[in-house]
Amino acid sequence: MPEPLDHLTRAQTQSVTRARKARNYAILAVLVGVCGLFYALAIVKLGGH
Amino acid sequence: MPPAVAEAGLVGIEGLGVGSVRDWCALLKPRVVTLVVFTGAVGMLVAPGHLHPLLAAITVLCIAVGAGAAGAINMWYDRDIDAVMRRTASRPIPAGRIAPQEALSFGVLLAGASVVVLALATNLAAAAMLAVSILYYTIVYTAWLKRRTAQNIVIGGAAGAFPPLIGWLAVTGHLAPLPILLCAIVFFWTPPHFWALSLFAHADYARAGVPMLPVTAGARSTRRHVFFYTVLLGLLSLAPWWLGYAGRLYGITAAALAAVFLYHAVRVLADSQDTAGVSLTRDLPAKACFKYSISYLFILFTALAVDRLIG
Repeated sequence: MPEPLDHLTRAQTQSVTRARKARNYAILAVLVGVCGLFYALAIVKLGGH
Repeated sequence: MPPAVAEAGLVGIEGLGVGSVRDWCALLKPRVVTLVVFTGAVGMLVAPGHLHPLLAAITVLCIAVGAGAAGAINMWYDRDIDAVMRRTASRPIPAGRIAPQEALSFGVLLAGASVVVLALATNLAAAAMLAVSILYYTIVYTAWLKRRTAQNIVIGGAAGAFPPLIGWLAVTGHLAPLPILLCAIVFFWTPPHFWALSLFAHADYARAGVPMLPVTAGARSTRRHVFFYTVLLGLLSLAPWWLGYAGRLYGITAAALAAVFLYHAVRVLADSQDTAGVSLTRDLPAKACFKYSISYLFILFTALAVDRLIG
C-alpha cells in the first residue's frame, strides 16, 4: 500500500504517483523479461546446448 | 533541481526517495557497464569454441547486470563522499531520489540473480568469476582500498579486468594465456585512465578525503605515474601479437594506439605547471589523455576481435 502523502502538495503527490506508476510498469516489464529469458534458456538447454 | 528529475517531470519530490526509472538505471553506472560489457563480449568472441547465440546474449546480459549491481552497491557505500563531490552530488542516493537501503537491496538482488542465471546458462566457472569480480569491486576496492590507499586504482583496477575472463570462461569453461593477457591489459590501462581523470578532478577527491594519487603525492608525481603505466600498457598491448595469439592487423593497431597514448602521456608529463605541479593549462592534456584512453581500449579490443575473426 502506498505511504500517506498528506504532507505533500498536490503537484508533489502527482509527481510521486507518476514516479511510482512508472516504476511499477518497469518492474512488470523486467518480470515478463525474466520469464521469457528462463523459457528461452530452458528451450536452448533442452535442445542439447 | 537535478536535470533527471526535471526531465522526468517529477516536480519538487527530490529528497522523498521516489526515484524515476532513469534514476534506477543511473544506479547501474551505464557508462562504466558499456566498457565492461564490451571487453567481456570480446573475451567471448576470441575464445575457441561455440556458444549458442542466445546463451552468448545471456552471458553479455549477466556481465552487464553483474557490473551494474556492483555499481549500485558502490553508490550505496560511497553515498557520503558522493554527496560532497561536485561530479557525483547529483547521483540518485546523495540527491535523495532513492533511499540507500533500497539501492543496496537492488544491487544485492541483481548481483545474485546475474551469477545464478550465468551459472544456469553457461557454467560454474564463468559464474564464479562473475561473483569474484562483483565481490572484488564492492569489498576489496570500494569498502577496503578506495579510502585507504593511493594505490586504490592500481589494485582495485583488477575488478574491471575480469570481464574478458568471464566471457572466455563462458565459452570454454577453462582459462588460457590469452584471456589472462586481456585481463592484464585492462588492469594496466586502469591507472593511467583514472589518474588522468583525477588530475583534473583532484579538488573533488580532496574535498571527499579520497586518497587519490594527486591528493597524496601531488600532480607532478601523478603525471610521472601516468607516463610509466602508459609505457607498460603499450608493451603489454603488443604481447598478444608477440606471443602469437593475434596477427599483423592487431599488432599494427596496437602499436599505433600505444604510440598515440604515449604522445598523450608525454603531453601530460610536459604540461605547463607551477612550482607545486598545478597545471597552468586547466589540465587540458590530462583531459585529452583521459578521453583518448577510452577510445584506446575500445579500438584495441575491436582490433583483436576482428583479427581473430578474419585470421
